[in-house]
Amino acid sequence: MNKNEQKHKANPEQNSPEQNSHEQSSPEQKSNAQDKAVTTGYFRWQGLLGFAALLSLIAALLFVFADKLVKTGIEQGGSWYWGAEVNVNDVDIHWSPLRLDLRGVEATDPEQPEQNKFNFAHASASVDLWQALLGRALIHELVIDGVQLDQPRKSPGEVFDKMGAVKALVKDHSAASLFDGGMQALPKPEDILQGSSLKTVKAGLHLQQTYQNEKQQIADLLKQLPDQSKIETYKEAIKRLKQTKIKSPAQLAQLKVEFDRLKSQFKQDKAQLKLAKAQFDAAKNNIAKAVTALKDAPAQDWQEISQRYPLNGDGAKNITQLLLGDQAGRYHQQAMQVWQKLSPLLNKLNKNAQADQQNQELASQATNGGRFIHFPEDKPMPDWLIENARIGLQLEQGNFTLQLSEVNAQHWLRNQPTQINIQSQDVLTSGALTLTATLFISEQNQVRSNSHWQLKELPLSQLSLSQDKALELTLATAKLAIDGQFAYGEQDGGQAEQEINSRNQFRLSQAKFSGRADNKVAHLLLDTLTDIDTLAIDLTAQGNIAAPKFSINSALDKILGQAIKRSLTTSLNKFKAKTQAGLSQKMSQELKLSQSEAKQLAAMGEDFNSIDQALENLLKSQIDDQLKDKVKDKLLKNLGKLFG
Amino acid sequence: MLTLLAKILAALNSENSPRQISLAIALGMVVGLTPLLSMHNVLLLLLAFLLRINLSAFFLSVGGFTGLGLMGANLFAGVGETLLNAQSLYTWWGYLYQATWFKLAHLHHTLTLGALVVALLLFLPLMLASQWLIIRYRALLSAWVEKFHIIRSLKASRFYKIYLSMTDVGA
Repeated sequence: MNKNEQKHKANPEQNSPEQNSHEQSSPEQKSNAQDKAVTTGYFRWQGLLGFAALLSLIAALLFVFADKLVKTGIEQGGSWYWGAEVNVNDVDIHWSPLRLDLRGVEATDPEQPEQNKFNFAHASASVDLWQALLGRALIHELVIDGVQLDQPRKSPGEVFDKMGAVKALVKDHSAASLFDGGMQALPKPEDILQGSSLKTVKAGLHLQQTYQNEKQQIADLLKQLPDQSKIETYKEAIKRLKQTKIKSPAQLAQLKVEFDRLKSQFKQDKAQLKLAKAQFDAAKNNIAKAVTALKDAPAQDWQEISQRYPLNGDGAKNITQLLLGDQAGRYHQQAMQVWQKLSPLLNKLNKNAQADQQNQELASQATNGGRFIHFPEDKPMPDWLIENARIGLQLEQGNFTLQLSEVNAQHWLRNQPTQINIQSQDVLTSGALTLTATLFISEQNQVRSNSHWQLKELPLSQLSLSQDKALELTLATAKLAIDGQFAYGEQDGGQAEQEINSRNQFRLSQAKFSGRADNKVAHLLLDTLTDIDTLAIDLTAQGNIAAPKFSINSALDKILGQAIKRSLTTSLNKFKAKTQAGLSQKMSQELKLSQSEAKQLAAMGEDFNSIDQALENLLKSQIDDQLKDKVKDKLLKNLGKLFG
Repeated sequence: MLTLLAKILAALNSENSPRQISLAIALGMVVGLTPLLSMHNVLLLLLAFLLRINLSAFFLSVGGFTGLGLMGANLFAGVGETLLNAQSLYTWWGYLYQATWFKLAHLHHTLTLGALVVALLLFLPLMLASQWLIIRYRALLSAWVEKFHIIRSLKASRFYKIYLSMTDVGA
């Protein structure tokens, strides 16, 4: 009994009802069933044929329908990822070596479905099949030809979801304020002189007010001082004392009391006078200061006027910034939009980046697709890698060729940055562009990039620089050459993460400007630019990439400043002379007005002096000695009578 | 044509004991729940053809569980994510990752690993449960189902007769 027979007997439940019914059918059928049971076992080797046949069938189906499957996969998956309809005209798969050819690829612009965001005529990618089986996308060579942007579609594409529509974060660099600040036209001197904010006017008013105040205070003091009549009374009193004949000691004592009272009165008056004189001196000092302020006011007014209006040509120092800053701002805005689209894409592709791991886990779960998790190995490979790529761009500005190598989002694994080289020989018909750049993403998901570019013989035409009310300026024709460099992220020189440092030298040659000017300064600017043939401009952008600080400088500033200065010299001198004369006149008027006040004040001073002198004289009266002499004479006379 | 088709079906369904059918269902479950184009599924397919199991039940199971697999993909990916990111298993995965077969089997893919682990955990319970259900079905419900008009119509058809004759003579 073989193994099959044993198994068959040991396992009677294998016999189905049908088999049981067959066993009961006939002796022949019973025999057949037993034979079958004998031939059965754990394995059916003929199944290998079935397996091979099925695999062959699958392989054949894949071979036949692979093109369609890939086409559908790109269209469906691409549309889901892109957020709008993606079309592929034709797909060819070459199996050995594995190469994918795509023709006629179009990606609808999600914001403008009637046009494509991009489309290309042909793409070819040679894929490493072994790495693909291991879960990695390794493309040895990628060639994309005929890439075009923003081309109209034959029919509007379907939009599924707006993904990552980036809003402009940069403020609109409107040129409306171009001539509103430091480039105001000169006012009329009369208008300036009528202004009540002039220091000269204010100083004159202050002088008048000082005069009035001080005069009032001194007048009040004068009222408290003895006037002429009172001094005459004093004199009379002293004279009377002097002429009084002393007849007795009692009379002498009475005279003495009266004399002391007068003397005390004089001293009080003297003290009051001293106070008044001090006040008078302070008043003179205050008035002198006010006069000095009035005399200095015209010069101060002039200085202020000079700063307020473009009287020395300095108002033109930032004209390049004003003219080209607008354009630079727009370019930066466009660059930021590209960057904001690329940045999350890089993060998404960089699946092992620690900082973004959690988000990716959620994302992978949300899409049900799972993800590959790679572990350290001897020769680490990025999740995806394009070893070499060549992309041909056909833009309105010209044809560009992009050569890329080591394209991936995990540069730290092979310690090699992505190399980017862009070249064109027909930028705007005849410009030559060379750009080299490197891009390195660290394990901490920090991006570092350096680039250098040169652009030669770029023809410019009808480039609008200003649509200001005062000045419409267009660069009619010119040849532009640019030499620039760009560094982003942490650099050896101390540059921090997310910071940029870009220095660019622009050189315009054979420049012809045209436009319309509405005021004198704008006319001057237009004339100056019209005379310029070559112009060098330095543009730097430094700081955080989201809001870098732009600096634009050129020789234009100096040229224009000098031109403005030359042009304004005559009118400036007239303005200066007229304004300064007006200010002087105002000062003189104020001083003249104060002359009568000054006379009154001087008269008061005279009054003080005369009172002072009178009081001094009274105090110097020898009345005291005279009284003593009189008493002495009287005593001697009485003693003579006594001793005979 | 009908004879050829019946012959193929008869050959495939010749293994129709409860154990053979339940094993086929369990194997089909693993294939169905996990991503179809993976190395372990090729091996399982080979196993299904080599072992004396009911292939109809196997393919039926694959079809049914593929739908369940799509619905549970999120859960399976989460399981795989947890396993592959577990610190305690990091060394183990790192060691396995050095082997080409591990990467070729996409066992470092969260969905593949998660689905495979879940399917393997369900393998034995499903096989035993389906075996018990088949036995119970045959004992209790088979005769009752045979009475349905549609079943009797099917059995009266020419195709069924040919199929029956094929099963009688063997594959």
